Amino acid sequence: MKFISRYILPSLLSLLVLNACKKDLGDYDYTKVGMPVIDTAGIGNPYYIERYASLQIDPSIRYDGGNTKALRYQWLLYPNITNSTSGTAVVKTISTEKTLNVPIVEKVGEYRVELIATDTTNQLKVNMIFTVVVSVGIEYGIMVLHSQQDSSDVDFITTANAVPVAGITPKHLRGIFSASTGSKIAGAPRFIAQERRSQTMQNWITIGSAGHIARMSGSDFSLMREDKALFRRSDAVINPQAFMLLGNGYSALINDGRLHMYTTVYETDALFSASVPGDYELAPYLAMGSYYSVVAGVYDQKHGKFIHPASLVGSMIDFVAAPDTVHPPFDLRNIGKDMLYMDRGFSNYTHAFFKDKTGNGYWLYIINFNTSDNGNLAISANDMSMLPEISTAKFFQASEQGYVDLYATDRKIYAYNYQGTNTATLAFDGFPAGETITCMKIYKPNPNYNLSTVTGWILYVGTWDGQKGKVYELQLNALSGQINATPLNVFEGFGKVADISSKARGSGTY
Amino acid sequence: MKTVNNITGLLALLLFFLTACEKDISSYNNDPRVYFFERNTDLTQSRVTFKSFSFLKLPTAVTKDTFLIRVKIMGDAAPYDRIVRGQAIPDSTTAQAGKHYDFIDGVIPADSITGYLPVVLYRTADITDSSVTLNLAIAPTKDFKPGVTEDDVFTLSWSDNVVKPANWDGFISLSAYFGTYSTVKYRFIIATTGIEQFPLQQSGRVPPKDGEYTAAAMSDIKAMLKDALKAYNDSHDPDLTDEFGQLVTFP
Repeated sequence: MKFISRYILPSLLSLLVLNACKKDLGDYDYTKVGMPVIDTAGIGNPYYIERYASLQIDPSIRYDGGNTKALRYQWLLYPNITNSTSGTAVVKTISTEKTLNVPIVEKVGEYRVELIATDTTNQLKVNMIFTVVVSVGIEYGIMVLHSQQDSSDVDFITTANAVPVAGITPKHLRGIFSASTGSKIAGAPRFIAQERRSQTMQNWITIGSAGHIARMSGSDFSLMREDKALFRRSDAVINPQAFMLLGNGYSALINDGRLHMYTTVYETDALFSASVPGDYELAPYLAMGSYYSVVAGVYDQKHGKFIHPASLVGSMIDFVAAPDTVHPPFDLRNIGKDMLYMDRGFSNYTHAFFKDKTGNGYWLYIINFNTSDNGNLAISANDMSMLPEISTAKFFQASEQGYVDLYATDRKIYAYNYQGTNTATLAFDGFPAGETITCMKIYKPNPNYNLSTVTGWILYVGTWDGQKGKVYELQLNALSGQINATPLNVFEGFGKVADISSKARGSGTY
Repeated sequence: MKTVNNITGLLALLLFFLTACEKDISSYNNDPRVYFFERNTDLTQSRVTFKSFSFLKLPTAVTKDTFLIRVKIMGDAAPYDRIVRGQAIPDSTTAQAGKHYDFIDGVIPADSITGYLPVVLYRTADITDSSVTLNLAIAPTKDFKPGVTEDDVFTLSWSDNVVKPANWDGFISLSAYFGTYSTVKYRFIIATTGIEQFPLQQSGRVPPKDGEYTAAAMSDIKAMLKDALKAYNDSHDPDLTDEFGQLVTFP
């Protein structure tokens, strides 16, 4: 017994301990596993892309010892955070295709796009990171508000004709509102307008539809505020009809027939106060050339007369009566017609197009709102009743360069010489069969810094064939109103075009 | 053999001693309690033991309001609603029960660990120029006893008093929009706008800071007040008159 306890048990214990030191050689078969390789030859440099433009990367994948068909792809996008206190980066999956081809809607900045290729048979992963710099791409061009069914979106177009600025390349960015906000604009579209004051931070875009209004950044088209956030009063009715940054620096909105205004270059203060007090119901048009003391020349459709606010915080008042010694061509205080359109024309005068309430009379009233009210603002009353197809005219525009205005029926555009012969000539009749005009705008960028040579010399026309919309870029003679028969450009892929607005950068930083 | 016996005996004794290390875990007896649980939103969620309330922002027709104090239970949640209620601590309480305040039952909802203890506050005439204070504790109910001592007292103060804003008169001041000060006018402004303080943007050349009112904002508020004053005067006789016997007006 003594022998067992002294020799046998310690020996067995030692064997047990030593067994742990035995090397496990195993009995395995080893197979070499291939590794996919993302070849960045020719595609590895940083990508400088304009916001809303498509980022395209087509990597070459080699997979020696493996099957490329078994690979699953994932493209991630996240901001490049250089400051460790900036917070957590939000990572978005932007594609699961091998070839990346997606619009980049991120705000201006530097980002990383990462491709991860995963072998679905063994979950082996490889990745490659690309640098992407998103820049502003909407400084110059036109914005097209167009709709399909009950919602609308915005396309941005830049052409060499409209933007003869070095370094600005032609482009057509589609659906930038939905790309920015994640959804289209609800309600029937009404207007899109730029609000830009050079040398300030005021660079905003206002979009109005039935029941909605939105302000977008003019630098990157991000949503700044919408609907009631644009009004000081919580009980504001949202029914925007027209918006304009007037020549006097006041921003004016016609909303539900009422005039709302502000003047500021600070976005947080750019809110619409309660409507200008008074008994009126406005036609949805604004006079760009309004003098400081006029505030805003508008037309009261309810009482058939022009009116204006007494001040930015005052009530709506009539224009003063003409002096006895003056016999104006018409009385701003007693028009009595239905307004069809209002636009800024030659000499910064306001051109107001009217139809008689009864009968077939059509009129162009020219007013100089760009001076203090002395009772002598009416310039001329031009009888348009005898012009060809005037009774079917639906769209009107005034040239700022010469004594000519345009009007358009469903398919034809006429140039109206109101100063001389008081006649109109057919200026364009070249739209393909089946297309009808839905919008017509002379290119009038405001401010027109860098663009003065082309201001007024291009006409944009939106058409609709029942299925899809087009935008025609036409060469306009701003002095005669004649239009080249061959379009400069034709853009397709729209819904029904509701409005077209120029977009100008102005001068100074923002 | 003797050695084996000794070792065996030693091991048995050791095992016996080790059994003494087993902890005697007693069963849990639920003893529901409740304590005040008002906390700040800072990182440490620091304790809040005092709150104040003003009737100023409420329309003059409002004569009482219910103040809710957040409470939290100790013990298990229950599958039924439970009652929580406050009681006054006479020391340092200036408010009078029934006149300035009343306690009503609050509820810790079923399966919840937090709820609210309500106190009904009354807008009495004597608090238009002073404030009253209520020190309160958790009252024992059929469902709860008072909880931890660190959170067993809460202080509530309320008033209907106005103090003339410091920026009413001066170079850039409220008088430009509201005119001459009176407490009646200021009460009307607060009741109409729901705003007590109007810090003004000091220069149009500098972007307005958060919370500052610009000239445009103040002009809109003035227009709102003029409309509200007209509506008041149209439906009241006499027109709104201040403590100096002057009709309330806005420039």
